[in-house]
Amino acid sequence: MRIQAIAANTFRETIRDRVMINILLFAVGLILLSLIIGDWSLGQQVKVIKDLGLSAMSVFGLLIAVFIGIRLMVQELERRTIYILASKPVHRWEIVVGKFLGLASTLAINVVLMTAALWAVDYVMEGRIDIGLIPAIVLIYVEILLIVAFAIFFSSFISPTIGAIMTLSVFIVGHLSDFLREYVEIYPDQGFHWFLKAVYYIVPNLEKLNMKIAVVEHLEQPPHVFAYGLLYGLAYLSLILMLSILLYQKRDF
Amino acid sequence: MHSLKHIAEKTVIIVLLLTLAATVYLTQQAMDRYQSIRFVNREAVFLPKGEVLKWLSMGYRGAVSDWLWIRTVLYVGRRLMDEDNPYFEYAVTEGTIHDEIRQVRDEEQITQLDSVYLLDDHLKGLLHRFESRGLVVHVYPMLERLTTVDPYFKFPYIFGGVFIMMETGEITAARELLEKGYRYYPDHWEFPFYLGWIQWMYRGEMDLTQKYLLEALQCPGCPDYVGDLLLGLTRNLGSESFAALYLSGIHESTDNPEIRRQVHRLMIELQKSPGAH
Repeated sequence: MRIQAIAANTFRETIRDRVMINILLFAVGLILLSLIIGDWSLGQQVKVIKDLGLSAMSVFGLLIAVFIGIRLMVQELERRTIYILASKPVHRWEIVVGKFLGLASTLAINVVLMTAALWAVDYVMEGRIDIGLIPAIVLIYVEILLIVAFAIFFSSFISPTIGAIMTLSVFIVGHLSDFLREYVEIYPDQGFHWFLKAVYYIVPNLEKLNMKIAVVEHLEQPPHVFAYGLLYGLAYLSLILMLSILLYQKRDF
Repeated sequence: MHSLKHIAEKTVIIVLLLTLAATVYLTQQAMDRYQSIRFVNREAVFLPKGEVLKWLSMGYRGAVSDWLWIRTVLYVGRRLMDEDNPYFEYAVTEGTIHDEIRQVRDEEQITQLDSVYLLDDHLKGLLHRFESRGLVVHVYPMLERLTTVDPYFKFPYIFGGVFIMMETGEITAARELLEKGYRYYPDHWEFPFYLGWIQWMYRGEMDLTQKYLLEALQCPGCPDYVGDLLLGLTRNLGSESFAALYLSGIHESTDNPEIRRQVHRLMIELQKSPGAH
């Protein structure tokens, strides 16, 4: 109940955020613009629209996650509203989880709106909506939530600017970590490969949450690819959220 | 007094705004005068290798390959219609296919024609379009990169393997591209079908053609005319008839209006040719 109240409050705060609204409008605009861009693709309009739509969803979701996620806890500390919350019979973990769920709800609405825009454009082009995109969209959402979890985690012990840079770095390294594994496999005898292996397992492998090409090209995928991706993402974000809670428990305010 | 000051302030602001707007308008006009609008730069862009692009594109390989694809299409479009193309004017004003080939041979720019052919000059001429040889230098590397970034983007393989190959006569790069596509789509009949076409038409390799057509037939959804082609090959159908059969197969195999238009044009030319029956 207390988590619900904090989440509802966070949702109300973030849904009114101008940064979020601007990013959302930009994303929907870009998806609509794909109609024109697709026209230059020599018969590949539908592919271009879907690629661009899914990428816009991911990129703009990431921006919202970083810029709003990093301020989520920091704002409470700066405005000193955290003292009001802390003086109530509320556990710190409830504050962190409530905040996370509030932003997660806002992001869910964003993703739904962007999906609606993408399907509208798809309907104009194909005369039908491609529900096969859903697995990729769900994993994009999980990826965004994972980034939010990292933003909350970093904001618990470093400044917002450094935290935003660190969160973006996690996103970049997370998408490149597959190459680390490939490198280790190709050169197994290198002395430092244990270090690369460690990095590979510590940093989230965000490519495991990437089904964009598979759904756009209608590649046959075994069902466990989606299921494992979902499980991996949810487990990882729960882990990071727990670490954030531990750090906030120890923090003085 | 206060109101006068207020009016003066407002006037200054309005004058400043108008001056700035006029400056923007005039400088823009001046720049336009010296810079003709080019929708897309015909010059090649420097692009790192496909593997590096794959790294850089991170989770957005589909979008990056789309960007490369659109650049390729725009580049090809300009090359095919651009008066800068060395063969464009010749082909439009006075070129016939025979003359084109003769001229190209004279200039010793084409090496493929020196290889062994089983077919006569006229048929070779029909199926090679040399007016766009400039495409080869940049288009195939671009297609190679984009198919490395997103190897499941199917159409660029066909585009490079059939459309650009017919425009340029570049067999080796086309074959490599189709073979790459075939590796990623081993159960798609189009790839062995087009590979068979290259082997027959441009290499005169009957055995390989037969092998590819057989492979195509074993793929799910392979249309009946592939079987007819194989039959024609084994019955030693005349070159012109076999070419007609293959071309109609290629025409049927694609929805892309550009490829259909190009193949249709070749079919009409083939019908008009002296050897047609």
